[in-house]
Amino acid sequence: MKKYLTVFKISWARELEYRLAFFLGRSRNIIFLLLLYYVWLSLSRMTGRFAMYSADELAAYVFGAHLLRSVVFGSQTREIAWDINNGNFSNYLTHPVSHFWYMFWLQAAQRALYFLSAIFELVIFVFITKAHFFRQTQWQLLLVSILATVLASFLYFILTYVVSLSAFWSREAMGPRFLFEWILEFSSGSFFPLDILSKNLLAVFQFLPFAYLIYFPLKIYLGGWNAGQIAGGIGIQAVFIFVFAALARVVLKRGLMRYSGEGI
Amino acid sequence: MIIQVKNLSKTYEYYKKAPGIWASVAGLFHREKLYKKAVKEISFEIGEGELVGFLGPNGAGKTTTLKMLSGILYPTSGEAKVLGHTPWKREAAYQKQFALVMGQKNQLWWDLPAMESFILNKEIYEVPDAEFEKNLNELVELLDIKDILDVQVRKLSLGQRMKCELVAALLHKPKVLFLDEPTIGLDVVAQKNIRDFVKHYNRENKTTILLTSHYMEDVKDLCKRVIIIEDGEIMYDGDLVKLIEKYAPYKVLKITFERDVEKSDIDRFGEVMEFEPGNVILRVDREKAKNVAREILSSDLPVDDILIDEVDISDVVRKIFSNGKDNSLKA
Repeated sequence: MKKYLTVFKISWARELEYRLAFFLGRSRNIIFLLLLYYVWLSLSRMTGRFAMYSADELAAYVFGAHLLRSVVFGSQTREIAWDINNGNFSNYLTHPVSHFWYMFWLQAAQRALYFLSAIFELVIFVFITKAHFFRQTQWQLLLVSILATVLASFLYFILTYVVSLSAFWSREAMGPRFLFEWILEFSSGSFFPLDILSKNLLAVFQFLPFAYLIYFPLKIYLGGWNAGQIAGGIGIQAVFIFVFAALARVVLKRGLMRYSGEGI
Repeated sequence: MIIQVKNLSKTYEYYKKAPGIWASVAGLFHREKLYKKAVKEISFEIGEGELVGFLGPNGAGKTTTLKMLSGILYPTSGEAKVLGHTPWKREAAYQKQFALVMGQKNQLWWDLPAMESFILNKEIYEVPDAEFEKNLNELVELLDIKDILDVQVRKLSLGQRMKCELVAALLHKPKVLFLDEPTIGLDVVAQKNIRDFVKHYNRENKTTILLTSHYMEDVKDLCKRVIIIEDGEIMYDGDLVKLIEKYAPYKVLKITFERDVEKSDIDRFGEVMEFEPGNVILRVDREKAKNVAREILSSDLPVDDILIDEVDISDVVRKIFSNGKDNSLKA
């Protein structure tokens, strides 16, 4: 375990080494925050509501999505495809480390840093705009939404890990990865609550793992679900994690059979 | 035996890629699969503490063999045991006992000082604090890199980087070390520094080392035994000196004259390899070299100096490669 904590620490050092890239990455998220906040503010200004959400709930959703995007979505697994294509993947095969956990802790380090930054940005934003937003006071719901967020972060990591492993079969894994990320961002509910869409579309989304990344934890925070729905959702998150973890294991094993360490 | 390789083979699959845009479009629908036998049923054994040179031209199968022995690749067929482990099972117990250093590949964290990578390796290999301190100090002193430990790896010269790569690889005191072109791209001084270090380390720690290099100086300086591989097959496995004796059954006489001589005056003594009026290099049968030298000295030629020398190992290896396996030798 100590080795992965060292990976975590070193990853922070690396993130902070490239301060411009860090600030640019955060700027993108701040632009999203501004855009979404003012879009939803203007849509709910007339009646004080939009669909089944009050203006304060929508503001809370936008702020929550800003935090969750930072803690759930990561770019670390993009490196996997790159490593497979240029032979750097060999480094993990010759050292007594698990590639999966090594990458997980790299991602966790990056996410932790981005999360702290996102909190700081939100505090400044709310202070400047004096924005109103819904505050959940039930500690049970807060705790469960934190648990759902942790599971969402893990699920996202495993999903993108499996997609990145496709580089064992194709050197063009980055193309599908970008397409996957766009679909994922849209259908995860990071731009809007998914239940403002048609019921049929929502039903489709609820069968996909993406809805459990942003929409599900935020809906728990907003108090939109009863205990049974929450337990069911967390169970689905756990099942998806289990299924994709098993898939990752199989894909990695088969991929390694094909791996030729090109580039070294 | 530390390394045992038996009938090890590796065949790569790849796709035919004809040039041109239309061929690329056609390739979207149909691709012809091709096979390349990179390593063909090779067998060898290496004992504890041996430092063996693994030689061969580009594409001969050297790196593929090293990749299999370090667990990066699965073989197509055959067996290998290193320290009693099958490398491609990637057992942690094996990974903690060997290291692979690739001259063309960076294993250190590029954006951070090398020291960060050393600390990470300490944790990865679970090296106790006291042992880490001791090993690090020893390696840093031997390689003289104290001043660059806190400099980002990307800012180091190639030679400095290779020294740091070696430190990172040796901190856990591996019993087996695979060195793939460790001096590639380095200037002659840096090459010599790395060679001296490898020689010293092998002698002091009895580490078993398998070295590939394109620089014959590395091999001449470090390896008593060489394995020559070409087109995936082992052509020679044995003593470097015997390779010369067997494959180069001649020596060279380097003669300096006090005044100019004619070529016709000396070509009766052997094959003239190089001729300048005052300097001649002759090639003569190995067994006759002493007698021929004696004859030249006792002739009326104005000899100033005469030196009996071995042929250059580079020439021998080059000749083996150029002749192909028809001339393969077994030690």
